[in-house]
Amino acid sequence: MTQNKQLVFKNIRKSYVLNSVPKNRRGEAEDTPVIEVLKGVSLDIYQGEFAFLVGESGAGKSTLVKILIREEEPSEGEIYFGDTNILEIPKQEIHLIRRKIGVVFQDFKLLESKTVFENVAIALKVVDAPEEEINEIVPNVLNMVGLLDKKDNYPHQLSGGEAQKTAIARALAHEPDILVADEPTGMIDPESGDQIMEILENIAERGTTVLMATHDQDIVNKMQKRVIRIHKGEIISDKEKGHYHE
Amino acid sequence: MSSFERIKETFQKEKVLSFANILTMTITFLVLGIFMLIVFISQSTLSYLEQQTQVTAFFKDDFSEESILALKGTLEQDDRIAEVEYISKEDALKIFSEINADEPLLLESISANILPASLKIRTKKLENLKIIAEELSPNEGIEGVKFFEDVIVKFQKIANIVYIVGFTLTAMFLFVSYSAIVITLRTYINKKGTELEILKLVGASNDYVQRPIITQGIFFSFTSSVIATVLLVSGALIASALRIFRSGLAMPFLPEIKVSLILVTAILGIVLLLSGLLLGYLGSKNTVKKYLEY
Repeated sequence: MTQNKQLVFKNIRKSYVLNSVPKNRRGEAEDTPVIEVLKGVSLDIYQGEFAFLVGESGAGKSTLVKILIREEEPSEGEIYFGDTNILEIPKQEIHLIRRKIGVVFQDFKLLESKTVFENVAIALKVVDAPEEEINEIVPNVLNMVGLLDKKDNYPHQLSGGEAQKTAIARALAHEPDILVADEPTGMIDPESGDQIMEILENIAERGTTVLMATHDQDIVNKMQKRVIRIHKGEIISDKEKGHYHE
Repeated sequence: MSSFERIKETFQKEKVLSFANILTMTITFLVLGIFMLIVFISQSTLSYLEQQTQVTAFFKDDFSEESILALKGTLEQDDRIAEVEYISKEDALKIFSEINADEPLLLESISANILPASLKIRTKKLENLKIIAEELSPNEGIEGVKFFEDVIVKFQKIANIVYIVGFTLTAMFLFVSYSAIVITLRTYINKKGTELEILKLVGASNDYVQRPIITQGIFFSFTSSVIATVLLVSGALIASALRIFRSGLAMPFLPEIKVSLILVTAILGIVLLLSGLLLGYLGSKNTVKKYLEY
């Protein structure tokens, strides 16, 4: 591969200590049970590529995504975004990295009291973008995901696919370098899923790196993209134009 | 949504909580204002009383004026003493005549010889009055020493009780108000939890997320302090109209300077408004802090 590395995960580990620690007769905790969700994940993501992170539920995909956007802290490891170790960024500056990494969630995370337009605009409002800029960018990204005609609808008036398209438009609003999608087709019908994948593919073709965590075998097999397989917190395979079970 | 719209929304959705919050904080600031006013008035009264309070040493008729003036000179050298005034028999008659100007029969029966000469001694500190009185009593030529110890001591005791009760009440109400801000904002944050989480995930800075919450906290607290200030100043205006404290209040430590009750209340009002800003800011800042961790 001759492309530039955009994201470098180095030895990411994540352990949870169980709260319900069994105690002996004297009330002292015996061995502290620890669950290791990620067991030293190392991974390179290249600029402009489309990569799948696949694995069964509980494999550690979502935890890796959460660590990438600093929603969770790892027990150990480094994540380089360019020259910057994301994990060393002070908490009060995390928003700066989140503006460069657009995220799409399985449950959409839309604001129910706001219209489609307002939900997308919020990504620009938080960076204090001027109204003219918002009025120019939001229709563009809504057009890109084919949702301009629903701009005045509220989330409860949208189908699952449309809600996810709104979330993608919001993630694209501040032109991120990377788009991370965590199970974006998990809560929508297959037809809408195909539309979402088409949109994500277009986004990647425009030069934005797309990293998608999923356990949807059909989509992965259909797309013929890089497939990184994670199992019980470890990467067990990484194939160019791979299939789900390779 | 602007901060103003958020405040309006909180008011509409949490009517009872919002009004209870403002009522509690208004009472707090009112108690704080009244307490500060009482402290000022009692300090002012104490300064005035201290200035007026003196030891008066009355001399026997056979004790000569030279001897009295010699004692006056000695007392003036004492560091504890602020001022010594000699009242001769003639001066005493003049004072007596002024006081009893409407009693001509009484004045006719009194002559300068009957009244004793005296020294009026003012001390720098109130607690030295008794000591000076005790030191003077055994002196040759002194018939008696008088000072109004009880009035001052009693007033000081009452003032101390007022300070303690006022301070306790203020501290208690400040705590209740702080809790009221925290509870109102926590209710708001819990309801808006998803929205705040989404804002953070799409790249909002901590400042962006906490700005409207802090604005709300300051609004509640500041509004309450404004209401309390208006009530306090209104009370001062009514008191002035009723000619209470019409000669003004003596400044503590500078009793010769008198200020009007309205001016004192207005200054206390400014203190209340600043306290309102501070309480609102600290309450909301601390409430929102733990929600910015993710």
